[in-house]
Amino acid sequence: MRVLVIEDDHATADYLRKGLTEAGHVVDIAADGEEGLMLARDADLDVIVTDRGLPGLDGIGVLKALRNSRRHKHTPVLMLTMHSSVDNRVEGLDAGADDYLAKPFAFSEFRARLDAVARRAGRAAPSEVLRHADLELDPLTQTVRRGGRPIRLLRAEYRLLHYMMQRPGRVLTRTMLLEGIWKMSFDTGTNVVDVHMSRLRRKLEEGLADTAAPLIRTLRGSGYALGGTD
Amino acid sequence: VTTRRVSLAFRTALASAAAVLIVCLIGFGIVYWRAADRLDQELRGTVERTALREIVSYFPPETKDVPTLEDLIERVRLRNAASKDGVLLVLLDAFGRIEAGGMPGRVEMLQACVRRVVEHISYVACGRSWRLRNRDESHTLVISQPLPQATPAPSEQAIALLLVAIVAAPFAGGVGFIVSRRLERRLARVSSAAQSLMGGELGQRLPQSGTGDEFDRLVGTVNALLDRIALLMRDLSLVTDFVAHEMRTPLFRARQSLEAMAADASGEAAQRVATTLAELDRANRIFDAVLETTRVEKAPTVRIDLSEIVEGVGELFEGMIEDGQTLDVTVDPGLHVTGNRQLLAQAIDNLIRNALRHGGPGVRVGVALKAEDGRAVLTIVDDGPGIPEAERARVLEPGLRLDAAKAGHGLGLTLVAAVARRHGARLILGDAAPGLRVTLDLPIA
Repeated sequence: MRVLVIEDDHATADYLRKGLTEAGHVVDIAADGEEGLMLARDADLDVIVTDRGLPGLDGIGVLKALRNSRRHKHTPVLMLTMHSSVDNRVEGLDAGADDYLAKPFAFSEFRARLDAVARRAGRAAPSEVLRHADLELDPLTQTVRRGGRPIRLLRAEYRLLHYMMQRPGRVLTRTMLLEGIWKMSFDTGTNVVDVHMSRLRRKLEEGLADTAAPLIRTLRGSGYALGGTD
Repeated sequence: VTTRRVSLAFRTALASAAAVLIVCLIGFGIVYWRAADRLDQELRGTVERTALREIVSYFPPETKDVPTLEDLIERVRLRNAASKDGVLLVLLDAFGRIEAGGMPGRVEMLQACVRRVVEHISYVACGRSWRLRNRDESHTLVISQPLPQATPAPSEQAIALLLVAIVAAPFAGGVGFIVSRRLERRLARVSSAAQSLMGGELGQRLPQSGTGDEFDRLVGTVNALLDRIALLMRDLSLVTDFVAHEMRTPLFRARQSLEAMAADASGEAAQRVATTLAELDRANRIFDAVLETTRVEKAPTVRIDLSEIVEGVGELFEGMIEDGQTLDVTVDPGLHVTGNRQLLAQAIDNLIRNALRHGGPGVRVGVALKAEDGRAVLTIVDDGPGIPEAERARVLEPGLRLDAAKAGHGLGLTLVAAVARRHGARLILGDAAPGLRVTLDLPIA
């Protein structure tokens, strides 16, 4: 992917460049809003990352300018901010950001969200039966089967599985799941997602050999993914 | 409030009327008393003059006509016997012994007029001494005449005062009533402005009437005080924003370095880096929790589906509960309110979490959302130990409770109370006998 990072803090810019380059992406760095817009003008970008609090033209202004340009009307934008309060988040999303991430964050969280906004397009229709390996989920009847055997799930478990099956192979962090499914962006201070996820996995793997590769992979320190590889 | 308002104006009116009435009655009393006194003086003068004239009439100026003792005794007897006007004479010899007649009260050899009260009747007694024709020593003749009771008819001034009292008292009462009603209305306006101030409309100022009177000056002073508070709050907000920003930058850079170290480290070092990262994240969470609580007041609100929020939060707890605890969630669908999704979800999350944590093993928690009288009423009931009545108010006190933040529990009920205030919601902690009943209700949008 080609990523433009607009960030005035050099340490953070370097940190993102290093991490993204290591992950095999091409990275452009801009130190302020005007430079960012200039770099974006003629470039084919897969995703744009912009800090909200930039000197001069701020992140919201950059976002508005991007959305008014022909080239980047639909380019995914991930906004970074120093504030985590709900009002800033709403403002950022209203201005047309695809996601919003509060500093400080773990790089794994950043990467997972960047991947998510970059691949936002092309989702299955809501009523379509979802399949992954021998797993089958019917959104209309809200039933889940594995190898034809019905699996009874709690509501939260069903919602987690549904969300993950809509995004196969994608790394989803705990906060992404809480925000995506329950629209909760506050810190619950608990391992609520982990507890539901482990129960879900137990139910999915029930009666299968221990040696079988689990459908849901746990990525230490970052999140979960349904199928796929590192 | 209504009864107090009426009674202030009414009391002022009554006091004004009473004051006027008392002043008029005292005036009437003074005028009447002075008239009576003057009448009494005049009467006495008249009576004294008549008495003296009569006495003198017994002793003509010509020496040859001076009566003898016997003559005089006879005349005194006749006069006293025929007395219809209460006039009595007494004749005394040179030693004060009675020769003839008598009179009420003490008898003495008077040479002038005195006033006496005998058995509640006022008398004027006047006396004179002469030498009688056939006697060497002088004799004294004393006349006693009752004084008519002085009961004057009320004078015109006194009547005028009474009339003034009758007319002026209700008038004063009316004026007092109107003035105090006006004052009350001004107070009511100030009071309602103060109420909305307390409700979080911090830009509001108390209304002035523009007359520049003492009351206006007081309101002006309070407004100046509010401006000052607003300024301090803005400063505080600037400082917290600044600190938040300036703290996050080094925290973030430290985190970046640690992440880089974690990638290179192995074994025990990797473990230590991971622990340090976790500590750093914990610091950041506490930091956020404290800052968020100070920002609840300014959080934006929109029309949202409260039913969906309660269901979502309940869903997350489903399957999380242990130790024989149960959680029962009943939600009327589609109840919309004007609010902030994150804050409401967090408040509900905190309430359920508190019920489960303080209820202990085996606690049964019931969550219900219902529509009642145009309000969305959320109740969270548990059969745990509850909160003693005396402590309920304290746990909802506004302001930060940093001990709670330090314990890493978020800000618990303090946050819930702040969220309730932001939403104009009623938050009531009650007794579920046994256990705690928390009711949070807010208007349906």
